Amino acid sequence: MSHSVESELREPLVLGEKTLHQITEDACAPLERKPNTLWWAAFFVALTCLGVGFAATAYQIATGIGTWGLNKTVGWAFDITNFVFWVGIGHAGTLISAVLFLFRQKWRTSINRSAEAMTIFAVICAAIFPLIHMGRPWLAFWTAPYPNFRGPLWVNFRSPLLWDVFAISTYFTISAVFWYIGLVPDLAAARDRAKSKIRKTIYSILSLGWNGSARVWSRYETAYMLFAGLATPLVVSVHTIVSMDFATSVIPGWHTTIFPPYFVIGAIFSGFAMVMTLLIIMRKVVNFEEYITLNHLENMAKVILVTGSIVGLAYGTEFFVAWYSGSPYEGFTFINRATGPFAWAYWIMVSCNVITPQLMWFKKLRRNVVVLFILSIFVNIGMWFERFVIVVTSLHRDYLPSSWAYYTPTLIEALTFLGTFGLFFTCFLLFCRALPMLAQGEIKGVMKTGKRKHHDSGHGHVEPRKAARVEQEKEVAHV
Amino acid sequence: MSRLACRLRILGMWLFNRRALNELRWKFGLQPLHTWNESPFKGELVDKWLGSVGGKSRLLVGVFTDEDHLLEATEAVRKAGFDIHDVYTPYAVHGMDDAMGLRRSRLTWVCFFAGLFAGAFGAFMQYYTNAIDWPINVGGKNPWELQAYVPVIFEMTVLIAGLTTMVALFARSKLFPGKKAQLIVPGITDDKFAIALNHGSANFDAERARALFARFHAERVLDLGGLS
Amino acid sequence: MNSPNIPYFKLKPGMQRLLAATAGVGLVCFVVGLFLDAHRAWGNWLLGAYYFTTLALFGTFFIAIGYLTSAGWSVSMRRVPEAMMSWLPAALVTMLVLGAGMGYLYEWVHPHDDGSHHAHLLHHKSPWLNQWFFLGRIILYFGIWIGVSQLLTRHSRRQDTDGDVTHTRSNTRTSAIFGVLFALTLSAASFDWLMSLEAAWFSTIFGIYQFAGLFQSGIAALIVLLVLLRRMGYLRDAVNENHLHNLGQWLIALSVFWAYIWFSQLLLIWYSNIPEETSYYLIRSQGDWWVLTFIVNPLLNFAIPFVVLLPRPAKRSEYILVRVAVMVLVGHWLDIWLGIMPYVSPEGPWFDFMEVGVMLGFAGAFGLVFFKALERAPLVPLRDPYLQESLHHKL
Repeated sequence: MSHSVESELREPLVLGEKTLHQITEDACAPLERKPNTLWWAAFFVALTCLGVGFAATAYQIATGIGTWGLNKTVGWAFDITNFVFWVGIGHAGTLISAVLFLFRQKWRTSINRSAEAMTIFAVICAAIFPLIHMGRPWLAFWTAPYPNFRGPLWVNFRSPLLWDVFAISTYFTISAVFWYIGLVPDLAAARDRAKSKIRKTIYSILSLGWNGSARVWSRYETAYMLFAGLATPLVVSVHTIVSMDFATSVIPGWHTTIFPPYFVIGAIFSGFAMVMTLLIIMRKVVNFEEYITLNHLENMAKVILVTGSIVGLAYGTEFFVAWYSGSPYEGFTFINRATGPFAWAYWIMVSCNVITPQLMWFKKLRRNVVVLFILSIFVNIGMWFERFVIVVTSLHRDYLPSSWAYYTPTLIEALTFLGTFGLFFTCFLLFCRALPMLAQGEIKGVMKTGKRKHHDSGHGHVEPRKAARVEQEKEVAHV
Repeated sequence: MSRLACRLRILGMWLFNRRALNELRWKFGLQPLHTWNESPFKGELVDKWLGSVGGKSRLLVGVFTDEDHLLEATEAVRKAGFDIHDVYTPYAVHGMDDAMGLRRSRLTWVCFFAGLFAGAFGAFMQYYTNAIDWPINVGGKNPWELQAYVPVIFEMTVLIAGLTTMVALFARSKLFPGKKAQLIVPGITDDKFAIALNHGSANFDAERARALFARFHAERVLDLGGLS
Repeated sequence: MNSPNIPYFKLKPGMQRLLAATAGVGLVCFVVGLFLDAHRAWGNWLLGAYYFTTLALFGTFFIAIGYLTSAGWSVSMRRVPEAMMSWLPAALVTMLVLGAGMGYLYEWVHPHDDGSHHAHLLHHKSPWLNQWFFLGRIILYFGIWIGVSQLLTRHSRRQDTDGDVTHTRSNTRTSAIFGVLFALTLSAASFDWLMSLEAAWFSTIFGIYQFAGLFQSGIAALIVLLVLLRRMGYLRDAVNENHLHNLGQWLIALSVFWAYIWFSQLLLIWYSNIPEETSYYLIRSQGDWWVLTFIVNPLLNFAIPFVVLLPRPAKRSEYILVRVAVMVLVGHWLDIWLGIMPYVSPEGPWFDFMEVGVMLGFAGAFGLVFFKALERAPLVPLRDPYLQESLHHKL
């Protein structure tokens, strides 16, 4: 067994010497107690934002997207920025649940459930923008390839926008399935503790009659591994395809071959920042500080540092190649980004995404919750501006100076964006109340990490447990 | 009972109830077949058919509180030749497959072939719609150049492979909404571990089993009747 | 490692002579090639020098990520990548030798100003693409790589004697700094050595493309070397099928990653159809280059490894794994060859004694340096704090 022998350097993943029963108690506690005032206050604010966003959305659908600040030069702006922003936020969830699983990073167990929930809510928020942008969202089903009576008229499978439809819907479906499969054993735990009849019935239906059979666990683990294996290339493909919305064009600043991996890394970066923001609040409010420890936050800070630096490298590469290519259009676009009318956005992006994350080189700061919280907010802002810079600055200087323009979002656009935050937090707050936020089934499985210390790890060491087992086998033979 | 009825019953057991068939095979000194997981429904049916093979109670259950003890006990009872009905744990215990001697799940193949089919389907769908039925000139490029169609082929593959795997997992494990969970002992989803041994198997010896459970620090040992 | 026969590797004299002879034959092939077709000879020299630089650099990178992620499983095999990176000083020499043949490979070395747009481009790039800065950068890159490798090796070997955990901590810090420098230097080096062959062409993904190749072929080389050592009777206890399984998973994952990057570049350039970018694929679509570029290359580097290694038993079988790894090494050679040759000898593809000889020569020299370095320390890092985890690694 891989965890039967462990280095002395491994530290416990969960603090406070929890017993298995305590973990069940702690994980189910938020579901079983009444919500406090803080929760109600947050829920009220989120619901208000959602309401405002709903009204703004209804208005612009009724009136038309002329309510946006777009013009003939800048034909894509706030909506697509928000779309890419939200899709990116979602990526951390899949990364934590799938990629870290394949890398056998056990610390993921404390944070994967809430990160996956975030993924699903973020993808819902993202999907709203292209839906509105269609102008007639009730005809959204036209994007599906189905036989119809409009002649043999099919969708154009060579359009990256259609790839988006397939990518986002696949991503949403697979993430939801992955999330639910992970939830089943924990729902069963909640079911077996439920006191009230309604609660018991609901959790019974959701947990599918789970009884902890090891034969089922074995299959379940295989399926989980398969889902991780499917979700990993999927998450990469999603932001790759999002990047191709831009990169398949011939617009300087949009068309560059580094876009696919650069967008994927940026998405992980922004997603981890959002996970960090939420978890720092959540561990405090729900009292999960022994599960989501400083070590977890530090690990996330390291991921943010690595991905932020790669994003910085991509900025650098783009800038260098804009000069190296010798193309006047490329050169102008990048100089214009840094010094033109949107220079303010560009420098917000650079300072939030590349400069401030470098603070994470210092262990002291990586373990300081306040610093981490502020930093994660910075990254969220920076990554929103990154998309804004890519979308708007590449467009606002057209090939003819007579088509040069500036873009300012309208109130409607801003309120719609606010509304998606409302939707996101409403969903997240409801999730905290209704479903187990800690993947207790997985946490219990890694509880022995860092606790099976053995003192002689040097040369000539004989593993005590193995020796004990050999002895036991001998005894069994005698029985 | 007629010979045909006997044969049909054995066929039925072969298809739906490996455990009962294995109990018969034990009697005739044949190697047991790979056991499938069973539903309580079948357990009862088998009782009726076989007329309580192996006495009144069907399972001897050892309850444990520690993963390491459980693993060692499982391995020990298996090596001692007991027929393990199942082991119940609150979480996926690493190394349990080996300890129980389970063979690897074939879900991988379900996923693989579903993906293969889905990829082919995705390619065909795009080929038919965009190159045969309604070829459009996009940027002066040929109607069918594979690279433009790869993204959707990939997404279709992942979507259908994923959904098929989910359905296969739930179907194979007989998990469905509305199924009533039968916990072998309370606390299985919390902090208890249990090994259930079949009374029915030929070389079952309750005393020896109890002694083994005790050796590996079983919290208690239960004799359960009729429960699957 | 409890068995008394393991700790030290000893290269058999016969093997040593064989490797030295191979290196010599390679040198002869190269010199003969210089007289027959100097362009192609230098192209092959660049190919060999670059290929083995990436393998050596992979050693450093692999060790660095091991430290950074506190990976337990890879510790027992660490001496092998450590020995791989000992090729770096020799690799520096092979790259500097290129200074003599630059004129045959890189058109920007002697730009002739005929007033064309192309000449204008070369002039525009001359602050970066000029002989002395190019050679200076080679020294800079290798200075960083060799420095870091020495530091990592020194601490790792010292730990064998004193068993001090601070060596692990110190190497972790070095690895973090290496991570940053590696990303910068590898991107720049791949732009310099390969992308600037076609001086007018550019692709921002190129550095990542080369990184994917480095990582994938490095894992393949590690598998081949480990299996070789096991066949020689070494590391039998320390590296078992669980470690091979892990490496097999890496190989399959990196095959997918390589394919992803390869495909992204192809798709975007094909889709946008901008002349200054399509030139790269245009010369590779002529004649027989087409089949090699678009069929054979993805088959060797992606499709075959992916399908063959998908079942679990294949990843655990030394027999299958080592064959796939060799195929990936050939595939990586083809990948770089296709990066160099269509430009250097567009009337090709030629494949003769020069291709085989120069590659064999480099392999012989690399092998010699590798095995000699392997002799210098115990085959297993005896007192690494993660060693026990690695020895008991199970998948």
